[in-house]
Amino acid sequence: MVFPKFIDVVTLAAVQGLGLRARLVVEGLFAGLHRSPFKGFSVEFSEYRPYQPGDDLRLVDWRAFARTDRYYVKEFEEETNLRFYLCLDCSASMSFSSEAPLTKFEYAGTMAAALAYLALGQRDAVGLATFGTGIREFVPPRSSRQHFRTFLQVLEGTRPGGRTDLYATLAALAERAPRRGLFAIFTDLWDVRARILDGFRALRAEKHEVILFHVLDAAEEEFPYRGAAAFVDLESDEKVELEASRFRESYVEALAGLKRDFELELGARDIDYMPVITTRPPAETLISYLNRRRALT
Amino acid sequence: MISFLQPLYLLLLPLAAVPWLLNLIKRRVRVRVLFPSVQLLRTVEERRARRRPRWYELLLLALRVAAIAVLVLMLAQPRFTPSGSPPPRAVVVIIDNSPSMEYVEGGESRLARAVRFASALAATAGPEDLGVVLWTGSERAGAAWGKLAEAGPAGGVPPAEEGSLAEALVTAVALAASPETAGRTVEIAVFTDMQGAAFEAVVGNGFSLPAGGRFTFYDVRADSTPRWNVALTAYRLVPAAGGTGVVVEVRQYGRPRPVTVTAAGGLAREVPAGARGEAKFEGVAAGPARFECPGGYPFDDVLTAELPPPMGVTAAVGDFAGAGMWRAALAAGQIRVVAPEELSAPAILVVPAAEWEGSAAARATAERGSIVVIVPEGPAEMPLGEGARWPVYSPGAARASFAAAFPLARAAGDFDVGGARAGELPAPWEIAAATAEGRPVVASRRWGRGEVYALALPPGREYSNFYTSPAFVGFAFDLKFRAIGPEGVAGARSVASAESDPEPVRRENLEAHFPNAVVTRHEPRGKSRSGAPLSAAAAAAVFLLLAAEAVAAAKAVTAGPARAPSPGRS
Repeated sequence: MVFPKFIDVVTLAAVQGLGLRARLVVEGLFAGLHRSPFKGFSVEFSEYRPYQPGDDLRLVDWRAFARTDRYYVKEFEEETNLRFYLCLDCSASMSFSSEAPLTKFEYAGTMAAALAYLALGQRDAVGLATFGTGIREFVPPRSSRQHFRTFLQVLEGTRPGGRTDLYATLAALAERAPRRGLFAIFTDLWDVRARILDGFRALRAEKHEVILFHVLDAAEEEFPYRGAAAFVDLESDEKVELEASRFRESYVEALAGLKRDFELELGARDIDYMPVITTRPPAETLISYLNRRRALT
Repeated sequence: MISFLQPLYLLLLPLAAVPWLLNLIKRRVRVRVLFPSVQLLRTVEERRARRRPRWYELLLLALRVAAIAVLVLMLAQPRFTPSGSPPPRAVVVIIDNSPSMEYVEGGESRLARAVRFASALAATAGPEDLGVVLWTGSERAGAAWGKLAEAGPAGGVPPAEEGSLAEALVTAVALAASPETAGRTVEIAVFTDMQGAAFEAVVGNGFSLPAGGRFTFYDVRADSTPRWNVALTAYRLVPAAGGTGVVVEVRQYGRPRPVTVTAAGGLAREVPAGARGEAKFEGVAAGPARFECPGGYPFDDVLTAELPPPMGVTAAVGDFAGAGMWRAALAAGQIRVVAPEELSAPAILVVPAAEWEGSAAARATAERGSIVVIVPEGPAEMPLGEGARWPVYSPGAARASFAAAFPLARAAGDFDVGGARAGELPAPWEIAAATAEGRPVVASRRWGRGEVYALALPPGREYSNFYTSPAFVGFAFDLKFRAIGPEGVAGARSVASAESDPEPVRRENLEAHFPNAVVTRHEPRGKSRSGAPLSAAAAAAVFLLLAAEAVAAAKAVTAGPARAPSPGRS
């Protein structure tokens, strides 16, 4: 019997409990990667220095010794656990789901939980932030296993609603994270572009590493609507009446341009931009991102 | 004011609303969709609006509606009249009832067609409109204005008879200038087949009407009337191997088609279709020969035919039917009138019998080597002088034989040229041509160095214009060849070649010769101008539609690709 490599979204949606769902994702993730995806997150290699008496022998690079016949010790920039902040947009637009079994928020939550599970597995400290026009819930980073339960409780208790203000949110997050950390932000980016970029700039100013998961529903990507329709905004109740099929091409083209612009502008700030479609298995999405990251490093 | 000839088509006018309704249906919101990225939609919509603004959409819609509306309105054939109460009219209706009008085309005689057209004109009369009907062949002295609506052949259509359209026009102009027409729009409507004297009346006379008045010539010939003429227009001898060659030039009018020219001895040459072609024969002995054009000569539209005189042609000014053509040609500069005694080369002289009787000049012309054709004027017998009398056949009896009589007019193998029957006419007259049944149609005699031919057929009916047709020229050419021989032809041709080749007067350019005239083949539709023809309506509608689509296409091309918008909901 052949098992699917990744658990598809439909199956995942049928699983009750975010914790179990996260574990399923992680299992799929390991099946796809075959080795720990988070090596290098918690400790970052800095430089070699000559061995000095008293240094821990475990830090001696024996390969370097084999090549040079000298003892070198690897130095790491951060030897403490990583502070991994998982930030979820819980504005009303994240509650959208067209044909996908998971809403954008549920999908982002599943991915966040999976990442938290992984990070905690290697004793990194994981924090959680949900936000709309500002931070709604903030769980400071902890590395204990029990912390995962708290993480899940907060996440499961969150209901999407209201508007988004990414600048206010990200600026507040930058203030709340005094030490350098890794921010994984799940949002659909429906905000003013300038404020979005300002927010990320604020995070980067504090030397935080940032990964942006741009979460979109398939209907947002493909705009499959036909005929005349009134499109009502989930956050602002703004209404636009139009002939959908005549708009499709322009819309898809505009969205592609928008994503392209984000990728370029965020990439220029050393921010990983990862577009996410909620119909794709989360593990596959994570694998795709981690592989890309590995290729870059 | 606007009225419609086919008002029922106006029921289709609501169709013009179809594009608008389609637009409404398309725009009607059927569903409400909760959507996260409405701001992006708004941005795209605004960009589209900039590329294709609302007024542009409305313009497209308006053009489409207008296209359908124009099509429907033109189907209804609108007629436009000046706003307010139009001034009453005074219309002189002239109906040509010359014999040629009895010619039946498409099951209807030209005269019946003319009467029908005139009735249609009278049917458009308003209560104040005056009218009078003149017949070219009838007494016009008592003509007086009456109600146009009641004008018409109250006493029935008079029998066909020779008359003068020119005189009728003079009467019409006089009526138009009478006090009764004060304050009215004067119109003279002529219903004619535009042949013979009618043409002459148009071209050869100048008329003027009060300002705003107009002439309208309704050409009542059926559209099916053949428009093809062919004539042998030149004949010359050329050196050729083994003797003398003959070159025959064939000229065609209308739609040229291949013509076979057959020389004596059965030699045939194909002349390809073209306005002018030649057939060259070699080994044909000089002397009498016969040429045939099996394609035949339709008794055709004289106005589309040029006079191709192979030699100097003079016109008699006698008042016989068909003389108008000659006089028209004179007016157009196609031929010139010379006094018979001035003729230095052989010519064809057509004279009525009465003139021949008393014209010493005509006789002198013949004596100098020309051909004189005596045309009977209708009496049962035509005096040929010197006691000779020539029976004139009635048109009906002679029609079949006459049509087949002349070798250049019909490929009639039964025509007996030169089959003189001595004893039927006193010498020196002899029968020059007779039908196979033995009925003589042409008598001839030498007259000095020339010859005289007498036709035993009165002008009238459909043959009234025979003398004006290219067939007659061919016939005369044939006779001339017999009469004076090739040398004479060569000499005559030099005269012809000295003539210029002016533009012939045709129906198509008649208005240029007679600026007041409007020539039409359409049935009259009253005093108001009728709507544009359907083709024009269709063209207008198609133009509007194409304009709409072209504007749309041009806009799409110039708009260029979209750029990524920046969603915002500040």
